[in-house]
Amino acid sequence: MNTPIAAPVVEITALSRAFASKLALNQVSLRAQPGRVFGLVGANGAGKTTLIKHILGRLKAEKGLVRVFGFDPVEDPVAVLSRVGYLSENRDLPAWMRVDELLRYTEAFYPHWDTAYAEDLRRQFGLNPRAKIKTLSRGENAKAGLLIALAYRPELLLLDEPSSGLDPVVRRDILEAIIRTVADEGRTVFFSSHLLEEVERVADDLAMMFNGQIVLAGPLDEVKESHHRLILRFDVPQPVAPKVAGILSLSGSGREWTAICNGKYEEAVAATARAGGRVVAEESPSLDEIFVAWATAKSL
Amino acid sequence: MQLHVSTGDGVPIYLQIAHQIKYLVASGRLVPGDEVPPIRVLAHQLLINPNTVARAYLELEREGVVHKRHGSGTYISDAGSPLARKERLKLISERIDALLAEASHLEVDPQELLRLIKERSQSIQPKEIK
Amino acid sequence: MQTPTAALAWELWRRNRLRLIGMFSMFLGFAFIYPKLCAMAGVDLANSGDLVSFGASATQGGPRSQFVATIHVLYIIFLAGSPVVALFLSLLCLTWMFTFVEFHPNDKNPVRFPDRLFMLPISNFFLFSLLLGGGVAALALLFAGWHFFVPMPRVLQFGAYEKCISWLTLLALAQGITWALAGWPNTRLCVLMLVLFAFLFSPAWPRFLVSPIVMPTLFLLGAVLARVGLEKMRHGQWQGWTWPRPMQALLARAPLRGPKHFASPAQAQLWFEWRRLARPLTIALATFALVPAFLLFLARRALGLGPLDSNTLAGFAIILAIMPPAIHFFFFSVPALNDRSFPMLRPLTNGQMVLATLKAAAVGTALSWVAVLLAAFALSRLGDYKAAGRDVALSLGQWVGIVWCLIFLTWRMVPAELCFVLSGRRWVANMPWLKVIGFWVGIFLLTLGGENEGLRWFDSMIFSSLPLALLLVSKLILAWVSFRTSLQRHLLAPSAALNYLAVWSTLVASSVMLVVFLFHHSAPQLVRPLSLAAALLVPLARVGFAPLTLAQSRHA
Repeated sequence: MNTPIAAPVVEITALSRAFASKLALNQVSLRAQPGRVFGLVGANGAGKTTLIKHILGRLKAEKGLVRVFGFDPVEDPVAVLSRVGYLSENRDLPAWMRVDELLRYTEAFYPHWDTAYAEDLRRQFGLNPRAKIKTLSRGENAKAGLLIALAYRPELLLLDEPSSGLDPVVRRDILEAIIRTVADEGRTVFFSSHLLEEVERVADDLAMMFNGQIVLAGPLDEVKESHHRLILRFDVPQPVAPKVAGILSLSGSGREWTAICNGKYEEAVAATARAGGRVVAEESPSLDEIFVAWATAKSL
Repeated sequence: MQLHVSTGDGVPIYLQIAHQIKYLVASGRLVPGDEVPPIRVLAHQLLINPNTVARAYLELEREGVVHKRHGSGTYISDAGSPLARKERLKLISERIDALLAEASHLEVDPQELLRLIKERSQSIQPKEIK
Repeated sequence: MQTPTAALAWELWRRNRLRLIGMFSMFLGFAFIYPKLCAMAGVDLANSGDLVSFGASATQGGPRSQFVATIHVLYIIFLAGSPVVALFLSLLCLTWMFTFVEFHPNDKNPVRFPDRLFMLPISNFFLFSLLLGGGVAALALLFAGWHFFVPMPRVLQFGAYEKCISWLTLLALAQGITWALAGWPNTRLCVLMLVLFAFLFSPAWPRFLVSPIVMPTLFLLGAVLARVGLEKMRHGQWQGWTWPRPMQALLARAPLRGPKHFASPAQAQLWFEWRRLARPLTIALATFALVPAFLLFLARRALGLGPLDSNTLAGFAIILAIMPPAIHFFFFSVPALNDRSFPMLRPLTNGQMVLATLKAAAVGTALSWVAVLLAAFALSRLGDYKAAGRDVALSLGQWVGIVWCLIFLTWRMVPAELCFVLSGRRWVANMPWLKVIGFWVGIFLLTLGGENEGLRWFDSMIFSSLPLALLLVSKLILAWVSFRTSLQRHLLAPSAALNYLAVWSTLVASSVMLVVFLFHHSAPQLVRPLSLAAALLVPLARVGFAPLTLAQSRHA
C-alpha cells in the first residue's frame, strides 16, 4: 500500500516543551506516513494539543525538530498551512459571520478551494447558508468547521479531538470525512482523540501519550497483537492485587484476576506461577483496555 | 451484503471481515461470480479505514476465496477449487475446536458429543425439507 | 472575495460595520450641519479665541431668563467641544479597530487576537503590513477629511493632537503593545492606559519632548514591536511570566478574607455585584486618574518647569470630570459585561439583584470620585489654579453643588441603563450612544426655543413649576404602579422596597436642601422649579421596573 521510502508528512524528533514549571512534552518523536491515518491517544493534559500546536506552528519548538511536508511550520507558515486542514476542539469560528460568508471568506486564502465540492458538503451537512454561526448548535458548529477544513482537499487533515461533545450522527460525519480523505490517494489524516472505539476503526498507526511522553507507537494491528489479556486463577483468594512481574495492570477479586500484559507473555506466565496461580485464558484486549492498563501502570 | 464489525472485540477488524465473507460464501449467501463491494464503498459503509478493507481482501485473495479481475473489481472464486474447499474445511475445524474445548469444560466426553451431533442433525433435517 | 487582502478587509468592515457607519455619519454631520448650527447660534468660527471669550461672545443677545442663558452656555460649550471630541473618538475607535482584537467576556484572556487568523496560509509580514498599512491609511484619510472639510474652532489648544503623525504613532504603539504584551494581559492594559494618558496629557510635556524627531522614532518603535509581537503571538512565545510568582503563591495560600458567612442572600449578592464589576471599575478609575496625575506632578516638579496655563488646566479638569460618568455608563450598559446567568440560577429575587447592583454602584461611585478629586487636586498644583478659578467666578457653594451633581450623575448612569440591559433586548442596550445624541438634540431644541422671540412662552412654560410638578406626579404614579406590580409578583421584597424609598427620600431631601442653600439669596425664583427638577432626576420608577424587565430575560 505505501512504500517505506516515501517522505513522512509529519516528522517530529526529540521535541520538548515546558510551560512555567510543567514539562508538557518530553522528548517526543513520531512520524506520520502519507496516505495513512495516524491516531494520537492520551489522557487529558497528556500533551496532545501541545503537540498539534507545534505541527501548526502555533508553538515554536524549544528543543527538537518539527517538519511538516519537509517544511518548518514556524519558518514557512504559508507552505505548511496551505496544505493543512485543521479542525480544533473548541472551533474558533467567528460568531458574527454567516455560514455563506464564512465559506466565501475562507475561499480567498486557498487556491485549491473547490466551490462545487464545498456546496455539496454544505448540503450534505444540512447547514443553512444564511444562519449566523453563533446560532448554530454544537454539532452544526463542528460540521461548519469540518466543512471549511475539507473544501480545499488538504493533503493533511489535522483534527484535535474532533468528536468531543458531539452526538453519534455528527461523529459519523467526521469519521466519514476521515475515511474519504485517506481513500483519496496520498492524503493523510492526523487526529487526536480519546474515543478509542473510533481510533480502532480508522487508525492505521497509533501513538499513545502519557505525561508528555510517547509510551507506545506503531501500526495499530501490531499494537493490538502485542498486548494480551490474561485470566489468572489463584489457588488462594487474594485480598489485594498480587504482584506479578511483566504485566501492566491487574483487576479483579478473590481467585480470578484479569491482567493486561505487553508482549512479555512468557515472563507473565512464569511470574503468575511464582505467585501461586495459573493462566486459564488468553485473549486479545480492546484498545480501551490497553489504554486504561497503561494509564494505571504510568500512574503508579 | 450486510457485514458488521465491532471494535473492542479482540479480533482485528480485517479478520472479522474476512471471516464474515468466508462464512457468507460457505453458507451460500455469496455465490461464485458475485462481486464483493469495492474497498471504498465497504469502508464508507462500515466506517472503517480503507486500508483495513484492503488488507481483508488481500487475506481472502491469498486464501483463494476471492480473486481480482483486472480493473473491474473483486469477485468470489469458484467453489469447486481445492483452495476454497480447504478454506471451508478450515473454518469448520475451528468451530469444532471450540466445541471440543467447551465440551471438555462441561465434562462431556467425545463419544457422547458424537452421539449428540447425530441426534441434532436428524432432528434438524426434516424441518429443512418442509 | 478573491484574495486574502480582500477577505481580511471584508472581515474588518463586517466586524465594525456599525462603528464605521457611525463615524462616517458623524463626519458628514459635522461637515455640513455643524457650520449652519454655529451660524444660527451667532458664533463666528473663523474668529474664535480661547474658551472664555468664545462663551462670552456667544452670550451677547437679548434679555433671557437665567435658565435659558445657562442652557445657552451649555449649548455653546457643546458646539465648541463636540467636533474635537467627535474627531478624537473616531480616531481612537479606528486605532482600536486596527489592533484587530476580539472580546470574549468569559475567557481567561478576554481581549485577544483571533487565533484563527494564524491558521490561514498567510505570512506574518503580510498580516502585519496589512494591519499597520491599512491603519495608517485609514487614520490619515479620516484626519485629512476632518481637517479639510470640517471647520473646527481653535478653542482648545492641544498641540500634540493637531498633527496626524501623533495619531499614527499612537496606532503603531497601540498595535505594538497589544500584540507584544498579549501574554501579560494586566500589564498590557496598564501600559496601554499609560500610553493613552501620556497622549492625552501631552500638552503638559516639556517642550523638548515634542520635537519633530520624537514622534517618528516612537512610530518606528511601535511598528517594530508590532511586527515582532505578531510573530511571537503566532508561535506561542512570550506566553507570560515563566518564573514562579511569589505573590501569586502567597495570595493563593492566604486565608479567605471577608465574611466567612453572609448574613443574608442580599448581602451575598451585594458582595457578588461589588466583586463582579464595581470594585474592578473603582480600582481602574482610581489608578487611571491618580497615577498619571502624580507622575506628571512629580515630573514637572523634578524638572522644575513652570505652571501650566489655565486653558490646559481647564482641559484636564474636563477630562477628569468626564471619566467616571463615561466609564460607568459604558461598563454598566454593555450586556456582555452584565450577564447575570449565574445569579439567576440562585434562589434570589430579581429585586435583590437590582438593589445589590445599585448599592455596589453607589459605593464604587463614591470611591471613584474621591480618587478623581485627589487627582484634580494634584493637577491643580501644577498650574495657577487660583487664576483659572478667578476666570470662572463660582462661589464655594456652587463648586460643591457641581461636584455633588457630577457624583450623582455618575451613579445615575447605572439605574438609567438597568432596564435596557436587564431586558436582554440587545439592540437597544447596544446603542447607548443614542441617549447622548438625544441629550444633545434636546439641548439644541431648548436653545432654539429660547432664541425665538415668538417662542418666549416656551421659556416660561418649560421652566415654571406647574409642568414640573405634573411630571413629578406622573413619575410618582409610574413608580407606584411598578413597585406594586413587582411586589405583587414577589420579585421584590417589601423591606427592600422600603429601603430604596428611604434612600430616594434622602437623596431628594439633600438635593433640595442644596438647591435652597445655593439659590436662596441669589435667585429665589429658581428654588421651586429646581427642587422639583431634583426630585425628578433621582430614579424611582426605573428601579421599580427593573425587576420586571429582569424577569423577562430570566424567564424568557
